[in-house]
Amino acid sequence: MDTLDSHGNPWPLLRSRIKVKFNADTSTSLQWSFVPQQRQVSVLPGETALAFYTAKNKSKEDVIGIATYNVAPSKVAPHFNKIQCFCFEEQKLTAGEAVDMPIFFFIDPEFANDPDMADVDTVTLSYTFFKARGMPFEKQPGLAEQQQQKQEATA
Amino acid sequence: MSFGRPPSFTTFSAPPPDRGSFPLDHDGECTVFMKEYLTCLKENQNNNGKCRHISKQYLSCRMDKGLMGNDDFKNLGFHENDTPNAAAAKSSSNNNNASTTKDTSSTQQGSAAAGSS
Repeated sequence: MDTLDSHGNPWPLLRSRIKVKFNADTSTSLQWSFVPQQRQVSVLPGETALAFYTAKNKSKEDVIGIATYNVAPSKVAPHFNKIQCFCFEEQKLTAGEAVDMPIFFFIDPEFANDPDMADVDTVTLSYTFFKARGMPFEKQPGLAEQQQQKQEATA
Repeated sequence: MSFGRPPSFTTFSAPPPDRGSFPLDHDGECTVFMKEYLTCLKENQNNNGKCRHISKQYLSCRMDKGLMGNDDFKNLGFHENDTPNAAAAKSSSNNNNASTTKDTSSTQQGSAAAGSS
């Protein structure tokens, strides 16, 4: 097979490693620090990998948070598989508590055969932590919280 | 079930994880392996391939402490060549093959014995 990639190079039989980078965000009203523990992890399609974030509840109360994530570029998302992580379920941190949050994932082997992925050498995983529903809102909710309240009003 | 999920003003680009959520390691029981793994990444240009044996140790620790459901490492994407022995001694892979063969043959002897009795 003599297909060429976007740089005019022959399509490689063996893909080089894909750099997976990590972002972390928190909603304005969530007093947690939340950071990735590694800048990036380089993986092969099909190779399972571990990555860590650390979250710390800096407030004086126990807080329940919940995280969502996003994969960029979005075209990679169908190839991105999470085996286990800390997202989508409520996570409680007691006042002042810090905890490690692992993600265990892989980019599926089909990535290597997908011509749309030829120009992808970096994938960015962005996690955002919000305060879980039911937690008391602060007097001046941030933008994220305002949107959340709007959603709840119309739901 | 959408219980507990925040309203989606951000787009979810993929479904929830296969095995759900990791219980939090509140007591830091497996933190030592996490630190070893992170150090390995720093020393190896963040190359996951070179540090997978430590990932395996971390997950193994979680399983031992009840912080993760027990599973065969093959189901988690780990194979023979991810152990520290194999990673360190790729050139002496003959030794590894020899030991594997030995195990297989003893198993065969065992089942042969069972068959004949």
